[in-house]
Amino acid sequence: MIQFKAVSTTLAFISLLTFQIVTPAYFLPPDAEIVTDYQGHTTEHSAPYLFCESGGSRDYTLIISEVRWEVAPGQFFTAWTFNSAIPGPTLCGYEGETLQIEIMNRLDRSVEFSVAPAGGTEVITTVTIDHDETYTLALSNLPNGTLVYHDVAPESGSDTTPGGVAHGLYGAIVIYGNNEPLVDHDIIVFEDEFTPPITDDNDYFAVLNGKAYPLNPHYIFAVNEVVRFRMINIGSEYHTFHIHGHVWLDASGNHIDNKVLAPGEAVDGLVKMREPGSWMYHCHIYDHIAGGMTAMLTVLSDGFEGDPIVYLRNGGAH
Amino acid sequence: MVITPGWFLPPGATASGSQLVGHLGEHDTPESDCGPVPNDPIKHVTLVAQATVWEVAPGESFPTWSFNGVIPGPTICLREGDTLIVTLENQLSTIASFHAHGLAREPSSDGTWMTASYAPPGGSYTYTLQADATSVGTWAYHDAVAELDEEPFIDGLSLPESGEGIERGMFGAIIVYGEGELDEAGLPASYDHELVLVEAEFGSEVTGGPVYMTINGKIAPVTPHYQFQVGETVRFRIINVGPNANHDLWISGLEWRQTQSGSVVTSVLFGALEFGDFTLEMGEPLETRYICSINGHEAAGMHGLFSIIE
Repeated sequence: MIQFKAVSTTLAFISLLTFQIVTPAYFLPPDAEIVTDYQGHTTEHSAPYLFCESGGSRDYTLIISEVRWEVAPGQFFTAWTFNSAIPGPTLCGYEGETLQIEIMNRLDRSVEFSVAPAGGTEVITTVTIDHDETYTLALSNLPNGTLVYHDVAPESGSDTTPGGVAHGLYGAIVIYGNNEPLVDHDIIVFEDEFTPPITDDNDYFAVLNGKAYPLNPHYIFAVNEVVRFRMINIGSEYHTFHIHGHVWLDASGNHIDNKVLAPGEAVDGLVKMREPGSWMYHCHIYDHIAGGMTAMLTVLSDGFEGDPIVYLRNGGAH
Repeated sequence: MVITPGWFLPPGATASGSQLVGHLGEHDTPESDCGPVPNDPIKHVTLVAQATVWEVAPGESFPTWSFNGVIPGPTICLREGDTLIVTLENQLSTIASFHAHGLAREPSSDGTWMTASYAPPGGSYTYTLQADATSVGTWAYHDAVAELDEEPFIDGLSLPESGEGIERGMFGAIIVYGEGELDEAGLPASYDHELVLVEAEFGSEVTGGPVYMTINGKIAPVTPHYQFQVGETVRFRIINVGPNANHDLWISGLEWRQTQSGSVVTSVLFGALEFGDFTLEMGEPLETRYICSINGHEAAGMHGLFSIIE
């Protein structure tokens, strides 16, 4: 992840990063600080950009704590997080490997740390970690694909409603099999909502990877790259996932550019980046767009060599 | 290119009942909402964004926006390899755009505010898109910029796509035929009938009154009454334009065959702006209904009659 910090004095930068674009200044609160979260093809690479290389360490540390989470520019709420981020870090391994996860709970409540295949109904394991406890979890024989780790402890005052996820306590695990399709970039997109009473001031936010527009990821890819999008709806409402200008095949063999996901559902899409330029990706439910569930994706033109961030700052000129 | 949707009331018809659509008489050739799709590799379409008083049922109207005065707008029918050139003339007092799903285009033909690819009030904009091999299938087009007012979404933060146009009726279908899907006359090669079915909801903020859940722009009892003959094979091009709700489609006593995968389902479910095509085989004579079975949608008008005749 690369973060480029642009303060409000650099509105010109904001208008440059989207090519033909007229981004009006009025959308920024006067003193807002926008951190554009560029992800994807942020540097040149000869090997695929995956979540981990084969043969690396599989030791991970997760610290569960409360943070003031900036969900939209200047708008914060008190979230529960893994490693101060929503989603938490993506843990990764290869088929047959054991993941060693040290989990520290610094919340004033117990956490029920649970691991399950994304979109599945079975649970692989759930362990209870009390306040100020550290638990070391060894995960072996995980299935290939995308898994989710999250807190399933009931919300206080409820016997059944899981609390942690609604506050931001979730992340992904990726296990690579031996016959993975060849991709240039591997991306996880968590779709979610943050709603009262968790948010301040009764605000409603629909988010991509924990953030509303324009703080959510701005993906950069090179033209003709193939990207695996691992779409996960971790929220409690339906969401769709739509990329402008690009089409992929679903499991039924249909060409689609927008996929609906029920709460808890997950699906992968292999998308070839076919057309240079800046595009939106978003949930196509308009109430959710209005809640911030829209973001940008830039495809770099053919033959581009150099720093993609400089490319964006120069408005797409080489 | 402009297809007359099935729900137009014929001259002299009484406006009290549903409109028969489908197999209305003997036909030697397939019948399709697209009609014969020409072989010209370049298809020109003119869309006019305009204010429209839309009659959702006899005596029930509301002022809204449309393409070409009809909801849904004209169906755009293409062959794989075609180039589509859309001239959008904007008669609204807001900006308006044409955003297509499924077709290849440069950002300047995306129809979004971020790329400034829209027509100003009283002006026009031309979009160029390509139907390539990945475009074969069923899609929607819609406005993506029109705004009733300048109300920001989140405390001063504006967003790059607006749902106002689609909420108010600015949408239509795009059909792209692949190799071998059309016969020499440009009609469906493997189907007796092919129909576009668009599901959409109109909220009270648009209608100024009740919520309408519509099929091809109408609520029951003036939704299409589909009628087919025993032995016919029919393809439905189904589109949920939302803009917010999921919609499904369920016909008591029939199963849908998903055209590409061949999988068979009793109900088809689409999220907002999801599309697909499904095949129905007309086995035995049947008098039944089609409904959206999602809670409250049938009661708000999203149902109609379905007949299979000898």
